[in-house]
Parts: sequence; structure tokens; C-alpha cells
Amino acid sequence: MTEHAEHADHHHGHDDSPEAVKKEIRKYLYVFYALAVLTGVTVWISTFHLPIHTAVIIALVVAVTKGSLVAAFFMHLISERKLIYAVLVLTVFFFGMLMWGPWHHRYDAEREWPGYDLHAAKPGAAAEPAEQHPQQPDKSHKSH
Amino acid sequence: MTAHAESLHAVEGHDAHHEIEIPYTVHARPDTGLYNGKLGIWLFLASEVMLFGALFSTLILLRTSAPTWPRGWEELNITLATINTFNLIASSVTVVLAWANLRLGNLKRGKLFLGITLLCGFIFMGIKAVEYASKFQHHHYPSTNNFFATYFVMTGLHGLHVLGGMVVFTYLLLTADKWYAKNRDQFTNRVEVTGLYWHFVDLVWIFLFPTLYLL
Amino acid sequence: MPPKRQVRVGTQWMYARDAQRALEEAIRVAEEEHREREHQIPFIRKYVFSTDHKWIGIQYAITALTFLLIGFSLMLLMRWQLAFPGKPFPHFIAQFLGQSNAPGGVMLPEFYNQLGAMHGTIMVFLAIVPLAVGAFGNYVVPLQIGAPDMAFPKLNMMSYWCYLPGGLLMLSSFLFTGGAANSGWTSYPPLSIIATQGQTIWILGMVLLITSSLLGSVNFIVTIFQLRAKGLTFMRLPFFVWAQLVTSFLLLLAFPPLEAAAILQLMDRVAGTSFFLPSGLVISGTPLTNAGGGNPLLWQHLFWFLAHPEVYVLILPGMGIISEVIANNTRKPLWGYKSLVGAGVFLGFMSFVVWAHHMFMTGMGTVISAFFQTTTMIISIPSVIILTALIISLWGASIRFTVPMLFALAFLPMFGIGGLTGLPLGLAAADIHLHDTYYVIGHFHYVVAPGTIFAMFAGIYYWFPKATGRQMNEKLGKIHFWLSLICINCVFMPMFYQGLAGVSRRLYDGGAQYAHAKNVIGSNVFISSAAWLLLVAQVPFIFNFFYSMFKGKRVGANHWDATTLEWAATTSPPLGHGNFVVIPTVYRGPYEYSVPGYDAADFLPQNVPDDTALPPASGGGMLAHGAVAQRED
Repeated sequence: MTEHAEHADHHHGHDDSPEAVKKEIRKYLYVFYALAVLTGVTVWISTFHLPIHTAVIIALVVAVTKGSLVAAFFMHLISERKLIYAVLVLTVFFFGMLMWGPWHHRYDAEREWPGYDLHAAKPGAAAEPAEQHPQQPDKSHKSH
Repeated sequence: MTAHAESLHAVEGHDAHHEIEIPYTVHARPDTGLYNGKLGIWLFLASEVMLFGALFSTLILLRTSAPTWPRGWEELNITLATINTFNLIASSVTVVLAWANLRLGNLKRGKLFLGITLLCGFIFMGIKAVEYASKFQHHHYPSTNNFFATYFVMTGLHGLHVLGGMVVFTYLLLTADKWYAKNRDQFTNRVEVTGLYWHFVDLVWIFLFPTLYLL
Repeated sequence: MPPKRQVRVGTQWMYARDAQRALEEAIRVAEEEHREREHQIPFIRKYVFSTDHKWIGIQYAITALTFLLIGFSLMLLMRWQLAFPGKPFPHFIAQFLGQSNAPGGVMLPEFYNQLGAMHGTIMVFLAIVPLAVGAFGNYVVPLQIGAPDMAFPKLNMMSYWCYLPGGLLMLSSFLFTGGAANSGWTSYPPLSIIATQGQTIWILGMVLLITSSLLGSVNFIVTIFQLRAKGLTFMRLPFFVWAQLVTSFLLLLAFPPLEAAAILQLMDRVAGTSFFLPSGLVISGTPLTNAGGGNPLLWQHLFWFLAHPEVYVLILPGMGIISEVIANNTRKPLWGYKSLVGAGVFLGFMSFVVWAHHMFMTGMGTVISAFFQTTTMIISIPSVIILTALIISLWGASIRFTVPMLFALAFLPMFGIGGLTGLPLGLAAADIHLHDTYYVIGHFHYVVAPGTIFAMFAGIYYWFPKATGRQMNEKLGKIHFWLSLICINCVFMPMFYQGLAGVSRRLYDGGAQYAHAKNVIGSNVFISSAAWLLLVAQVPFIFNFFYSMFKGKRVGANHWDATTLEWAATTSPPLGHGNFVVIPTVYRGPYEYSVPGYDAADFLPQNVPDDTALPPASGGGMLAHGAVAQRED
């Protein structure tokens, strides 16, 4: 069984010396500032009321950036073990499949048989409480 | 078949106590570089990614197939949610500071930061309660339409996870003195592991917030 | 004449035989002192809320086998209705079922649906997986990797105590108004949303079961990665452990979407949401008042995202057991160990990307349909590799036809039939004809029943001596085997023909109302009779199981002359005190049978040091543990 010698503290995989920890603390604060700024940015951009497709892309880019900072530095992923990376890569792949599958099923069917989704939702009248809806199938709906 | 000695019974080499020594509970195993709890929590978080993933998938399907869907600002309180976002991010910082202080041997500061983290949790739930109450006052329920259904389920499940974290932080605070004295490294690990869970809860919110409120 | 070997015990050198006696005496004394202390573990902590993986494994086994019998019985009731539609049950059964389920002794269609849904649910979630993973996994894995217990013993205990209440909750749903869940084990909306109360109980039970599964899978993965004994590298693991590792990853990552979906369905049922309810739905002339805008196919996607990997959860541990039994009873290493491992891992990965082959008939575009057909065809490859490796392992072997081996040998062709009959289902064109017919029922039952369940039987007969220190009766075992094999084929083979003729599944009258069923519906009496005979065939097993626990022939720690680490532990390792005198060190792979150049025995256990020339059987147990040193004189 291989035993690699870590440089400082192989029991914890990280350095517990006061200097090292203090350096880490400074890093955490920088990340916090970055996250705060990015939060502000994403809220500010949302006030422009951009069209949905643009808004989604920008929001996702910012969210992924923020998420990566949290994961890399607060969760120490940046210095984590290969095994954890492997588990996460696998998870992200399956997560992607889950995002894609249901949506693409509908997209593909809609492409092949336009209007096949007869009973489209009517959530537009969002302010009203649930009430009886008319029975006619709405063939003239637009996919969002 | 075997013609061999009668059974040997397993006897502990050292004086028997009822707790079995499980290796690598506190210190990392050399070839994986991990202690058990850390691997365990990452695996659990992987499963949580899939759990929230299913809800995001639901949102994507329902939203893209709906003819109309309100923009977030039309229905939801962005100010309150933004405050909560800063709040949660701050609590992520405080929990990792708690862990850092424990590694430095500073139990008091460690407990202080754990306490602030817990407080942030209370603030988060408080603001959520205000949001939900306002929705109900305007007769917006999960049954109103799928926009609200997804809003309530996703933030509700996330809120339950915040609550769960708060319960654990409370337990850690209450038992800190005892555990720190008994096994300092193990307690520090427990804070690290709980912190990882808490960061994940923060991570989910980082995606939930723009998705529900800003799009 | 081999030189007289002396061993050192403590500070003295003595001959091996004397050393053995001295050690046994020392152990006997220690045992007595130990028994004094042992009495201090309260009964509740030792047997009810145990944290010992061996006892938890046994708890899972007893509970799962009970659920297996219950689930089987539900089907036997259904088979009466299918064989004799509209005829009343025999009096004692009619009385038991009561007037609300079977007025005048005749089963109601609603009750038939409940039985169908609960049969599937119980078999998959309460019987097979808890048996394969909870029982066998828990008991054997820590022993096979040389660990003192699982990584998180308390979590292990919680796993079981989420499973049992979940299962009981599920069962209790029969007592609610409207009875148990009745929308199939697949619980498709909109039907499941408007179904009776039992469906809500089903959902709540599932949440508990999924929690149990989640805790367990984390435990297994951490245990296998972190608690392997010294020298036990991944490529020296028994294939059973690999199978459990892959299975745990499947459970870990595939179950959560179903948990989310269950929450959504619960919301639809009790909170009036419309996640799965489309707009404009009219039930029996009354329009639904829900907001609408939901998508029933969303449920199907989330359900099958779990349920497909779930079927690999059902088969993989079984393949693991069969591998162990085959290696042991052929007295040679498994052929293609590396291929087995690679195929197992690849199978696990692919299982996540095939799920929509259960949805070919939902209105799929060509692109997505092509994608899932392709992945489904690809996933058949690792299964074939595994089956082939196991079959080739028989070539040139010295086969011992023990009872476990009989079940293992039968598994191979049975799984072959099950797997091959799956291929047309994976091709959308053929699936048009076969979807939702009895062909599907035949296909998956061949894989689970003479497939997995036979593997479970093999495992029980195989590891029974380890857990109890006694042997199960071979004759009874052989009767059990042959009767079960014949009956089970009689039950499921005709179903392929019924399905090919177009008979749909889940029909209360078994297809009697359809002209296309006319020629094949006669088999129903035959199938039902075979099923009832199959129940009778289990009697020798059930009797054997309990009788042998108390009166079976006592055997040694390594009854089967096996090589893997669990056989180096003592017989029936006692609870709460770890598994090994000294944690073993591993020196070689898991299947070193008939090692060329090693003539002392036809097997060389993993933990016997390289320089030991003594046969592993005589006293080698203690030497193997490193408890004593040895020298030549």
C-alpha cells in the first residue's frame, strides 16, 4: 500500500501552522468580497429586465462563477483529493443528463409534431387563485 | 472438506469495551488522503446535487413548455432575497472561520463564529417566513400556478436544509466544550464536515436566487 | 517426511500441535472472562438498535425474506383471479381478504390493482434490494475487506430503522379506506394523483426507504474505500465487493431524483399543485380544478431516472454472489477478473443514460429515441461480458455440485434468457408491439426471479455456515433447487408467448376480453398452478433455514475451503467486538485456487503469508493471523 508523505501534515492533508491558517483566513475574506460584488452585479443586471434568453445566460455565468468560488475556496475543492474530484465529475455528468433529458424529450417531440402539446399551461393570470379553467384545448399556444 | 481446528472466537486484543475502533475516523488514510467523515459528506453532497437537480430539471421543463410564465420581479421580493443572499454567503465565511480558529486551537473564537453562523441561519429563516407570509396574504399558494408551485417547493426544500444545518450547529455549540476537550481533532473534523454541508446549502441558494427571483 | 516445525508462543518455542492447544486454552480463558463482560451489553442495544454490521445484516435478512414471502403471496392471490376469472376464492382466503376486497369471495378489480402495485413495490424496494445490499452487503463486505465493522456503525443502525418503519408503513396502506396504492409500482400520474389514500402512504413509505438507502450507500462506499485491510488493493478485491461498490454509487446518485419526484407527487395530491397534471383534465365527466400546466411525462422521466439504475442494483450484488460461489466451487480463479471489474463499472455508468427506453411509447422524437436505443444496445455489452466470463470460468473446472453451486449454475442460463429477451424491448420498433405486454413481465422476471433470487438463495446457502457455524441440509437444498427451477420456468416462459400475442399487463381479466388473447389465455391456469407449486417448493427451504440454525451439522470457520477474507474470521463472529483476532494482511488476489506449485491444498487464502508452506487448514488459521511466528528446527 503506498504511503505518500504529505509535505506538512499528512494527517489532515493541510497545514495547521498559525501562519498558514492566517493566510487562509485572508483568502476567505477576499473570496467573500468577490462574492458580495458578484451578488450586487447580478441583482443590478436583473434590473435591466433583459429578454429571457440573455438574462439566463448572464445569470448562469455569474452563478457558476460564484459557485466555483465557494466550492474551490470555502469547500477547499481546489486542494482536494482526486477521489472527490472523480465523484463530483461523475455527479456533474449525471446532473447534466437529468437537466437535458426531460427538456429535450419535449423539444424533440415538439419539433417533430408541432403543437402536439395540446393543453398548454395558463399560469399567465398569476395573481388569481386556482379556479375552474375552460376545457377547450389551446392549439395556438407559443412555446416559451 | 476441512479437517481443522474448532472455532476461534474473536477477542479484543486490548481491554474490551463496547465501542469498536474504526480506523481513519479522525486521521486521514494515507492512500486516499481522506478521513471517513470527509469522504462521507462529499458523497452525501453528491446525492444532494442530484436531489436539487431533479427540481431544477422540473423547473426547466415546466417553464420552457409554458406559454406564459411571470418574470421573477413581477411576483417576488428581490430585496429580501438579496439580503438573504448576502446573509448566507456571510455565514459561509463565518463557518470556515470557525473551523480555521479551531485548527489554531482557539475554541472560544471557534464557538463565536459557529454562533454567528447559527444566527445567520435564524435570520435566513426569518426572512423566508416573512416572504412566505406575504405570499399567503396575497393568496399566492403552491396550488395557484406552477410558478408558485416551483417557487415554494424549491425554496421550501432549501429551507428545510437550512434548518437541518442549524440543528447540527446547535448540537455542535452545545457539545463543543466537552468534545474539544475529549478529542480536539475529531471535533474540528466535525465542524469541517458540517461546514462543507453548509457551504453546499449556500451553493444551492446561489443558483436558486437568480433562477427564481431574477429571471 | 517434512521437517518438524516449531512455533513460538509468547516466549516459548513448541511444536505446532502443542502451540495450537496452548493458544486454544488461552482463548478459552479469555472467552470466559469476556462472556462476563458481554452480558453487560443491554439486550436493546445488542439486538434491537445494534450497531454491529453482522447483526444488522441478519436483521435485514429476516425482514427482507419476510417481505419477499409477503410480496410473493400477493401475486399468488392475483394468479387465482387470472386463472379463474370471477371465481370466488377458497373460503378461508375469502374470509381473510374480507368483503371490501373480495365480496362474495370474488376479487374486486380495485383490489387486483392494489395487489399488482404492492407486489412490485414490495419485491423491488422491500425485499430484493434490502436482501441483496442490506443483508448480504452489510454482513459480508466488512468481513471480505478485513474491516472491524462498517465506517459508520450508527448510521448503519439508522438505515435499518428507516427501512423497517418504511416497510411497515407501506404494508399498513392496505388498511386505509380505498386500500393500498393501486397505480402500479410505477405510480404514473395523472392516475396516481387522483388515486385513493394508499398512494399518499406509498409516497411517505418511499421517502423513508430512500433515506435508508441513502445512508446505507454512503456507508458502503466509505467503508470500501477507507477500511480495506493492508495489502488489499482494489484489484485484489473479491468481485462481490466491486459489485456492492458500484451498486452503492447507483443508489447514491439515482435515488434522489425519485425522492424529489415523490415530494412533487405528494404536493400534487395534498397541496393542490399541478406538477404532473396537465391543463384541461377531465375525470369521469368532471373537470379537475387544479391550475394545470403540469407534465405527466416529467414524473416518468424522474421515476425512470432512478428505476433504471435500480434494476442494476437488483442484479449486480447477485452477480457478485454468483462469482464468489463459482470461483469457490470450480476450484480455479475466475476467468477474466479484470474484464468483470471493468464491465461492472461500465455497466454502472451506462445505467444512468438509458432510462428513457421505458418511455419509447410516450411520443418520442427520432433524435432522442435514437439516443436511448443506442445507449441501451451498448449497455447489453458489459452484461454479456460478465456472463461470458462466468461461463468460461467453468471451463476445465473441478465442479463441486454443492447447493450454492446449483443455484449459481442455473443463474447463468436464466440470466441469459432474461437479458436476451430484453433486447427487442430496447429497440423502439419492436417495443411498439411488446411494450406493456406480458412479454415485458416475462423478461424482467427472468432476470430477477431465476436470476437475482436464485443468486440470493446461493448466497444464503453459501454464507449460512459463516453466520451460524452450521450447515444447511444438502438434500433439502437440492429439493428446493430443482422444484424451484422447474416451477419458475413454468411460470414465466409462457408469458413471452402471451406478450407476443399482444396480451397487455395489469389486466384484471388476464386479457379475456380481447380476441388476440384467445389462443394464449389458456396458459393462465398452467402459470398459476406452477406459481402455487413454487410456493410449496419454498417450504423445504424455510424449514431448512430455521431448523439448521439450531440443529444443523456444525462446521468449521472455513467450511467451503474458500480464499476470501470472511472465511479467515471465526465462525459466527460474535457481535460487538470486531471480526478478526488480528486484522488480516492480504498478500494475493481473491481467487487463488489450485495454485501451480502449491501442493498443500487446492486453495490459498488471501491472508496467508507467502512464506507459509503449511496448508491453510491445519493451524494455518492462527499462523495466517500472524498470531504466531514460525521456524524450522
